[in-house]
Amino acid sequence: MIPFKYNVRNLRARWKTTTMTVLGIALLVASSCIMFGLVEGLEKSLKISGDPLDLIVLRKGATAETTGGFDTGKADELLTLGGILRDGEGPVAAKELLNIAVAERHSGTYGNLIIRGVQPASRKLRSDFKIIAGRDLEPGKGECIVPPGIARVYKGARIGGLLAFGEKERYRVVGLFTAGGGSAESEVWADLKDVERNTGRDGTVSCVQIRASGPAEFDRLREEIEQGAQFRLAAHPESRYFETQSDAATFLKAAGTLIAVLLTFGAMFAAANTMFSAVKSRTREIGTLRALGFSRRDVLFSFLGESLLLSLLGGGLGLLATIPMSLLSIETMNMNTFASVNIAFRIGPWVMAVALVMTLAMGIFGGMLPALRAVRLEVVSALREL
Amino acid sequence: MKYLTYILRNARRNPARTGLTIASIAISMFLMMILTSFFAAMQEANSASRQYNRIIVMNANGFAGVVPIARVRQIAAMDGVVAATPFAWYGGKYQNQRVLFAQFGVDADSVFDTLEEFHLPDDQLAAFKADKAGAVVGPKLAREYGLKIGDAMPLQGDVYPVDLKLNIHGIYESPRNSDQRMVLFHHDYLDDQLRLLGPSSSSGSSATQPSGRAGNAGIVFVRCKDAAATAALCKKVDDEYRSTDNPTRTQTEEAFGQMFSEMMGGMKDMVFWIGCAVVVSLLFVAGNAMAMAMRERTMEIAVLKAIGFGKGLVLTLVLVEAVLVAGLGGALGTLGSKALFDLFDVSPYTGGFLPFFYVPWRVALAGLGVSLFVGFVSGVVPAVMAAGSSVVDGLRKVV
Amino acid sequence: MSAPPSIELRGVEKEYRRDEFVVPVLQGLDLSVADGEYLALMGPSGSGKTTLLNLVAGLDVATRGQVIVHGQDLGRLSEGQITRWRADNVGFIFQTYNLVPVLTAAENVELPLLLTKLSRKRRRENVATALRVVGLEGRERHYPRQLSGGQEQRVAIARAIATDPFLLVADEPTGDLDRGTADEILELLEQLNREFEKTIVMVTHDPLAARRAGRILHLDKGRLVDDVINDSAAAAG
Repeated sequence: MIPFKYNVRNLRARWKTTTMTVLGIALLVASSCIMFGLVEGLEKSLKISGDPLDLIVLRKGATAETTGGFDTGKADELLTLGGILRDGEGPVAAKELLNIAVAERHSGTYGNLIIRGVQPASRKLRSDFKIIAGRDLEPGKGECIVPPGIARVYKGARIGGLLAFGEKERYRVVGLFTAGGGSAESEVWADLKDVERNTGRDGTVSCVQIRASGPAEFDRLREEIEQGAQFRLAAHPESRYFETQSDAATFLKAAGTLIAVLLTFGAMFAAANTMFSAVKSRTREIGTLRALGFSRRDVLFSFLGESLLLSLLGGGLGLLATIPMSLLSIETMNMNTFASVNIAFRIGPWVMAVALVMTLAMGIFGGMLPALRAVRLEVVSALREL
Repeated sequence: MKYLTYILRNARRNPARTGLTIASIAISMFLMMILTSFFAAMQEANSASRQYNRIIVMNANGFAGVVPIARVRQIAAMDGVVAATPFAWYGGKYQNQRVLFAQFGVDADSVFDTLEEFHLPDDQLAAFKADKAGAVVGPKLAREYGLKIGDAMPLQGDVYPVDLKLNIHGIYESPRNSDQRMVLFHHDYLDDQLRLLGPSSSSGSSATQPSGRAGNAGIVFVRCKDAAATAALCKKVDDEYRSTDNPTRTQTEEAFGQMFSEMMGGMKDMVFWIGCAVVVSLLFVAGNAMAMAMRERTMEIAVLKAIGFGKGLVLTLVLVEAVLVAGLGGALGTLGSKALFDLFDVSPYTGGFLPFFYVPWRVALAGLGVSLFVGFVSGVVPAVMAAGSSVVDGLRKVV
Repeated sequence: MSAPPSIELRGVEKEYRRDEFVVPVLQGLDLSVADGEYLALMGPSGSGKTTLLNLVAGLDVATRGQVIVHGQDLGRLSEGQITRWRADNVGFIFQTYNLVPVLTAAENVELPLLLTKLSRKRRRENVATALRVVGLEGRERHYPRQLSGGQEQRVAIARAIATDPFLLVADEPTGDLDRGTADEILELLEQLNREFEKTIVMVTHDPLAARRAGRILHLDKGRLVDDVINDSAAAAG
């Protein structure tokens, strides 16, 4: 085997070309990683709690909380069902009422915010709910808490500010919260009674969130809610609900994959170009190595290895450049509900896998043809080449 | 130019390298076209709607708010209004699955007057009007689901707690950059079904439909007499309903569409930055290719200069070669993608996300310009170096 | 010439195809070379001397006829086999040295040793020995560009003898060197032939170089036109 340091040193000797190629590849890999970081972030931002024992109860036939409301009387009865997990403060279940209203961003454009009227237990039904600044809201006082993404983007959403929707809805912002990066981080939370009063919809709820005390109770609750004569509602396991909401994510995933594939091809051609040039300028060297007794296979693997090294450098750099993005988030529109959704970039396993696959594909397929060209050289003519 | 042969021959000298550079640029441009067209196509459709002089009335608080159905008649009676129709979003399921085509409750008598670019043969229109449960569908939708006139189209309620049993009486025609996958039915039919449920239904309200009760027009499409009337009417409608329970927000159709893309917020910027990253990477790729090519030609350049080719000429030759190669790649990517999307309709595969997708000329030509720019920048440094290189050194060079 | 033939050519012919043209390079060559001989191949350009060298070294294959080296008919070996045969049996010296620019002198010399099963320690020893023989101790860590032409050629020679092959083939070894340096290199080759009993086949234009060989072959238009024992060299040896 031709020693690897031969390839390393050659890359270093042609450092200008190597650098340009590595940078070009890095940018393309970074772009793909960002796309997938966005997709992964989007998926995360649609999850409510991720707890397998959680149920979300909607009107039968409805597929989303935003449109799946039902009578508040039934909701109250739901909260008393056996099988619901209980802790020191009562059942881990809550009625919630949603409103979507237009709000102005600092940039002057408008977006639709989800305002969720919650009960105290709502917090336990989200993964990792935490107040990170200010304090939690007190019921009945027209207060609200917001996630950092909204505080940053929308007018009046900072602590101490006033969020106003239409003539009747006003909430004073008293604190910032996070909820494990889940869906709650794209919502404004206010007291249920306040939202009922402000929107004049005090006879209904949008949904009821329930946590079962165990798997057996989980199934029993579902059955009772869906078949029981007094309810006839739909009790969706949260995981299933989450799947149906992430149609948008599927489309983005497909689009992201398409983009990544295109970028990989682009990068492949760049790597191939560089390697072709390397082979061309080292023809005499290749002939010598062959003359000395290194086999065709040795030469092939040597150049493939060089190509892989080149693309690993580019891919690694691209991935590294993407990592700081995980500190960022963008606020955009959920295509299903037309409401604002805050997407925090997540450089997770999917993103790393993408970077790795792109890099390997580039290195191998990009380097294959040049390596074959190196191998196909007849020793005698190679030695004669000037 | 007489030097064109020399330039072209040079590019053909190393077909692998030239081919790869062109391919790199073509693919990257193709990608840029997709990313940019997403927003640009929507915007073009928006501006194109200006010619129809339409305004759209919605509740000032957003889609959650109501626009009482009675207002449609009131607005239609206003000065300067040619026609008005409600457009109530039904959002139902088809074959018990969530679907992503729009279903709207409209006023059959005025909808095709309001949407003048939508056409329906007279007999179909008559049949539609005559049947309360009648509906007309868009041509793309009909093709996708194999729907024909006379077919039934039952929709299951999702947003509303009632099902609709529609009969298809017509397939409309509309321009390429409009939504050709809609279902239009009688608004009255929906209202009747809702009233049948009774006031004490267990449906309750939702965030996007404040009450399962009938009488919500959703939004109102209004066709105005002329452009001047649109601005005046926007103000007039809003003034009229400002102090009621359901104040309105009225804007031109173009502004309405603009509102949607503004809701996308940070996404647009993201796409822009990715586009930039791709272009910069192209600069590296093309620049590198050009530099490598020139490095191998030092002797040849020295000979040219020895013969008498001046610095300026040498510089131009190199630069033109770089621009030509990049331009060819760019043309393939931009014009190729335009042709592809013009010939091949991708909207069915987007799951309803994009009712139409094409590459506007504006975007294709801009892309071409960018690739020429890339060619220029990538060729500049090698060109300057070639022009300034020493003849003697070049001739002496032993590889 | 009492030793059995080490290298034998029987009716060897070589032609190249260029599109529809057939270019004959060697025609009907018969040759016997014994172990330990020092052979110079001379002739005008196009006479086929480099081609003959390539055939003997296993770099190329005859169109017709046999090339038998140490009893092995090279024409019967597959490509993989002949590659390995070269590694074991032949050392190469080129006019333009052909050192790998990104490797140091020692690493260049080590290259053919990598194809053997020797341990790292043994390889290092062989490299040190080879460099000592060619008189380049102390320059192990230099890169080719840091060496003079003569030094580069010495490194090349060290590389050629590193695995101790029986045959050394040299293609215009002094072509790029000035007179003084050329003499030094030729002196080295003679030493390798005399003391280490290497069989040397050398293509050269330089009559002074040829004079050092024990036997001079003249080729013209692909045929052997003269085969002269060099008394002066034999006498000097």
